[in-house]
Amino acid sequence: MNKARRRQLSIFLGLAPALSVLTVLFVGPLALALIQSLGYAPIFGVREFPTLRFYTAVLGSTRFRLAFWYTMLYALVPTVLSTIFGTWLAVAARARMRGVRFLSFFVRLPLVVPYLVGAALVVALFANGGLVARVLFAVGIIQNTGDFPRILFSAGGWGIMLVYLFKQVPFTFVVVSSVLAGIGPELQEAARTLGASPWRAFRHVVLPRIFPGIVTSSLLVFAFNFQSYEIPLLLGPGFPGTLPVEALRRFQLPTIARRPEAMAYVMIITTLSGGILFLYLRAYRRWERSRGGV
Amino acid sequence: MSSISIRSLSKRYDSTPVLQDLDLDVESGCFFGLLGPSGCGKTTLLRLIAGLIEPDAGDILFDGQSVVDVPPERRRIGMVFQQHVLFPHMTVEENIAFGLRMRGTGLKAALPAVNDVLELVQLSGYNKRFPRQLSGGQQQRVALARAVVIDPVLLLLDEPLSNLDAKLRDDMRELLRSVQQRLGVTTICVTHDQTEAIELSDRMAVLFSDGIAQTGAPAELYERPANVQVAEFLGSTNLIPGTLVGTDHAESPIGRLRIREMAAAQCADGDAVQLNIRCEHIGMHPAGDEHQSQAWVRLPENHAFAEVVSSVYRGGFILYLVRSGSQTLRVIERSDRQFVPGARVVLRIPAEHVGVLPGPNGA
Repeated sequence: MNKARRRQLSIFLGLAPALSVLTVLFVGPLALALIQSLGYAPIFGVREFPTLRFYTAVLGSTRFRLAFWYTMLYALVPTVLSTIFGTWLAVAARARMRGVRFLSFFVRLPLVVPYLVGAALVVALFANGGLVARVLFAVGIIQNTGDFPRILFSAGGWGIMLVYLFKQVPFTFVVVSSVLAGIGPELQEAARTLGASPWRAFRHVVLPRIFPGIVTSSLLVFAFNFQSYEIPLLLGPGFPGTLPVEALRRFQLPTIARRPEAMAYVMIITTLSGGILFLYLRAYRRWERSRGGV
Repeated sequence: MSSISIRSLSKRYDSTPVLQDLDLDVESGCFFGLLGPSGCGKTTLLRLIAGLIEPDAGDILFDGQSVVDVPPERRRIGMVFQQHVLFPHMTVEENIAFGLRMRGTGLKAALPAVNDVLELVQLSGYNKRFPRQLSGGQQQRVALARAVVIDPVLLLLDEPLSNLDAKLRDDMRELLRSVQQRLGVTTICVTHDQTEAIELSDRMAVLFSDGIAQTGAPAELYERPANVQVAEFLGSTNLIPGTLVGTDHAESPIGRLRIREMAAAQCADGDAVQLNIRCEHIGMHPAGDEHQSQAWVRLPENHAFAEVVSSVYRGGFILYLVRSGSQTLRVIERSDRQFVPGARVVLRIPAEHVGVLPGPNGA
């Protein structure tokens, strides 16, 4: 065996453990879901491969369209808000704004708490019999705890988005803070001496520099929100659910012959999520290239 | 352009005082060099003038108007930083146009001014390049162009040449001087490099951690330093302990020396002083055969026998260490006149170059 081949083999052997895990845990199930969604699922008594029947059934339903829009709403709004608040906190913490140091310590705490605990907290606080409702009732603002606005288990998705924000503002804060730490104050100072107000110095000079961190954190946050099912299942309305919740419900239908519809949902979620992230990343890369690739 | 006055300026970082009760005046249109060792507070002073930090006490006046409460973006200053600090995501022309855009001029409208300053710093045609595509010297020239394009009333330079290699530093020094003279903008340049300060400045100040030691024209500071600290900081010099004899002579380990007229104006007969003699002001000649034994030879005033201890070749000149009596002296001589270690020489020390500094240790 010559030297080049030996080198190739050693690279392959080095990568083999990671590739095996990736294949077993990701590519394998995805391929299985694809095959089943296209009509090959003997275990469910479906042998129609290849067919797009299950995709047509899913895509043609009102339930899917509603689920899609609510999924986008629940994914996008917390992504935008956590990006804004997390970035603002990171910038304010660096500028040593009064009180922010204290706040930035507390804002990190939710990172160590599971999402489910966040959901329990939101229920304890904002349910109709929750702490906020009781306080409002106690001070006489509402006549009955049942009068408290219904923000959980409703299509508005306030509870879902609150839990996401509870976890994702700290996440964005930590990511953007670490990027900011790599940028000294000199750029901002140079901009100030050239006539930029603090806000304009931030917008024109600092923001483009921390943009990679913002893009990374928002990509991760959006991908999680789009694909997450436990929080929408716990705090969302019975109808419509988000796409992952709908997929789960399809999977739990008593008619197992319809389970390939759940797999169609899975493939659609994966494609949509991947597509949106790809377009977002491509737009960012294009912008980055126009800025000289920095 | 503006005149700058600094009155009783003080600044602390936590409990450490960096500047205390500092006063300084810079005339309009002057290139003012602020020279000092690392950590003496010169960059802090520049940042205070720029408005990037606030003083604890004192005032900063531009043309007699206090600017202490004016934010940096409204002080109309141009600043060149040590590390260039170009905006990496902007092209050269966007970097230079930045200050104009912040003043409401569009990029297109700013382009003629941008091209003018690019020509001024000899970088015409570099408009579309990004900073990472430029060398260190080019980046510093863009930083200079960016600072002057806004027509500042004051140009602040923070160690502008310290990150450049020797050749680039020479080129950039010339460029800085020519740009400043052409624009006539009041300029304060902070540096720890004495050559840079002496060559560039119309006037300069030497700043130490305890405040400004001396202000004046570069030649004045070099030739007539106010104290031992300044003398040692500016160039290579010999400080010889001595005792004043009358008002025009001093006894020293190398013999009685006539001193510069009025050099001892602040001292009295019998005072212990330090005699300051620059290395290049000492003449060195081979001792003739008759001088090989100095026992019976009387030399003229301000002459002394010495023996060469060592020599270091430094390009166009040689630095000699010579011993005369109990005193070791440094002497700079042209490299075409070489003396070997052990050679006996006669030193000639012109009276006009013998300065007197107060105190036995410069205290």
